[in-house]
Amino acid sequence: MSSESEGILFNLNHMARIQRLRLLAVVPVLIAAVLNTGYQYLLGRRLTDATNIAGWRDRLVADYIDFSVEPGLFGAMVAGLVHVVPVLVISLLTAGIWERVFASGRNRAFDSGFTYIAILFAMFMHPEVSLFHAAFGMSFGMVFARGIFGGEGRSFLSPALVGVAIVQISFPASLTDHPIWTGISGYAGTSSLLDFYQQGPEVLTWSGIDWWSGFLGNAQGLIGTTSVAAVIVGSLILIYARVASVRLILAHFIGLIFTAMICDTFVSVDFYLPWQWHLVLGSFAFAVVFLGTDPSSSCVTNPGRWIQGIMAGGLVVLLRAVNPSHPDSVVPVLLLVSMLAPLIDHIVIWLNIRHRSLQHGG
Amino acid sequence: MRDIRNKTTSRTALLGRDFPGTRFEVLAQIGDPVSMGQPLMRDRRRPEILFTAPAAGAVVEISRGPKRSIVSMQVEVTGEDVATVFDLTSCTDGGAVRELMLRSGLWTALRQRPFGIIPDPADQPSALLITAMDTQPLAPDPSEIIGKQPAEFTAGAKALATMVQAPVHICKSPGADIPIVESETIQIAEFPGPHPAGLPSTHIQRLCPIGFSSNIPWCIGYQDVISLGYLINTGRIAPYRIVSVDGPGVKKPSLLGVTPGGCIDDIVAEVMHEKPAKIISGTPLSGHYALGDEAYLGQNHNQITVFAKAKTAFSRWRARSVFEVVPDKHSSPLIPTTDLDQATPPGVLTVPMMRALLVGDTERARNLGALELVEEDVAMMGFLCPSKTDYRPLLRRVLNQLQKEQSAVTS
Repeated sequence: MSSESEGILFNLNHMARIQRLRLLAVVPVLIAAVLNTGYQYLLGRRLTDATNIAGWRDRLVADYIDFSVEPGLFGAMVAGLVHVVPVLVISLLTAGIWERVFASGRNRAFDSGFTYIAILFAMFMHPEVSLFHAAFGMSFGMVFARGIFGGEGRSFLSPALVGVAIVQISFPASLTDHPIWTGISGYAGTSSLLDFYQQGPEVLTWSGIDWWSGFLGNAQGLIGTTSVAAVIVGSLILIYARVASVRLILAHFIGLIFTAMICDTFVSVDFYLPWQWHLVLGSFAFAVVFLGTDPSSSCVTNPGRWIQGIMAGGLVVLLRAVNPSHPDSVVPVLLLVSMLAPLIDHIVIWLNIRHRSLQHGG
Repeated sequence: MRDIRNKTTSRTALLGRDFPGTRFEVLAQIGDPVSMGQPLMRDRRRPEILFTAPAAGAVVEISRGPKRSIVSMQVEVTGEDVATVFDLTSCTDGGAVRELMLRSGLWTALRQRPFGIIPDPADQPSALLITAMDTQPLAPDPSEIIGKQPAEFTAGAKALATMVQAPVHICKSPGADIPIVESETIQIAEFPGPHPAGLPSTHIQRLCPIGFSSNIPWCIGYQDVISLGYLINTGRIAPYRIVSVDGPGVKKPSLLGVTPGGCIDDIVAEVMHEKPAKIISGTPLSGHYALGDEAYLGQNHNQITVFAKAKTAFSRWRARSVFEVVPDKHSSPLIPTTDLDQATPPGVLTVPMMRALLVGDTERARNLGALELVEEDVAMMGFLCPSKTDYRPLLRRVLNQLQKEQSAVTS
């Protein structure tokens, strides 16, 4: 190489492109999150005492919406925005502040990739989450899963996932027993999976949740994770743009379906939940597509991706079936599998090297 | 079939960058008149390997780079028909063909794996691969170019088959119309699919896997086989090499027969739009910018790509994001997105290889298959990696190190 002005001639995958595509992919989820959160809130309000105005969110909504009528699109939007926007703003602010702190402290560029992380984090929050909890979780994720490693692409865990995990671990009660949502007839929690495990399969019928409402997102749950349909749209964008690995996503679902079928056959009938319900209840689809396929914290070889995905899908079902006290179980599983990803890759690489030396002689 | 116009350029050059790892000894000085086929340089370590003048004229410039390496040796073409005529009377057995290739400078078209260097004249390969397909972006169709000179291609392939005592594979796309060469040792191999299906590394991986350098295959491009056939048939080196001139900056993409190593500005002058943004000798992925002392056709290049200046604001914006390849002040990381998987020939784990190259881990890179790769195989990594790193010099550094270690072991 003689000339000093060497360099690649073209570049397709600059960071800005990846970040734009990721943000685009999360838009359908945001829309579904706002509409569904608002709709579920109004539905719950209408079924219970409409005059019980307890928190600042209720007061804000009550100014605009009459709780006694059938929830409409406008009402759902207003109520949804009131629930989603504060969490989103506080996540973005917290993440942005930490990004700025690390950028100036370590003399590196301010990376706008934190917006994607903050949005994912907010989508994983409970609709009535305390804003302090959100800020705390986001801070933990940004600092310990991103900042101290040197930023995007250099960490081995997804910052949003770590943030969510720390909220769930530190404030377990906040997820399930929020005062406003308890006591609503047929809505004894905010997560349908939890309903199912606490009260048996009939609860889904009582709550009026059929498979299609679970698929479209018309069910209670974390802010952005209920709508599998929106997640599929987002995943198509990520797969088409080749940011997320289609193998990894497929492997997760194969692992989930396969293990659910086995569990249905062998595990105690109390926890019987068919595989098609595993897909649409809880936050599995959302977490897989947006957190599980984070390229920096998953396997980089194709055999590794299959192993990682099948393992994660299987573990989710296992934990759901044998450990009903942690009904969703997606977050701890994905964390565990992310930590194992380098090990899986290591084995795949070792096999590749062994294959090379065996086949052609060393 | 399209007519191909021949064009003699005003200058022609040998580029040092085409021969990685070679230290040159200059045989002609500035001002010396040279005939077509006369040696201009030779390899310092293996003096049988000669680099000859592609056209008759006079040496006008020898530009040098770091450590007095040769960047290019330029010859002003006079247009006189002064050619060295090579003796073909004894050219019947393998040794004679070898001798002819060495004397005419065509030996330098051969590449050996591992390392992608000119093979040693005394060696025998474990296989010889003739690459008669091209999957690079905007590449010309080899079957059309071979279809223009089928007799030369056949003669060249036969001569190569007599020269090496090893199987000769002609690698082509499925269904491509390549003339059939009658010989016992020549086999046809077909490779379907998109890039990198057409890279020699992909073919080697299937036909003659290198592993940890137990096999030493040689490769040669179809154009050089045609040149060899021309030499065998006429005793003179081929005056023209067919290249395609294409890209958005060209009025009408076309095939042109041009002087080998010809001056790019002359070649594109008539066919391009007024103000091209970039002119690249070779493919958009792994060629080189035609600038300054390197504005000449590369030795194994089959195409010249011309990119137009962006006209609208949108295309300027798009061009900025695609063309702005200088790494940021704060470097971006490697994000292992899925499209990186297809950046290397099969059998090589892309992202682990990229990481090994980035940190300069020679041992790891060798274990992951660096011996199977040359620069063109890792060109796609730079195209797809957000860090905007050029992996080609990183690979060359690893290969140089491995070559040094290997020669230390053998000697």
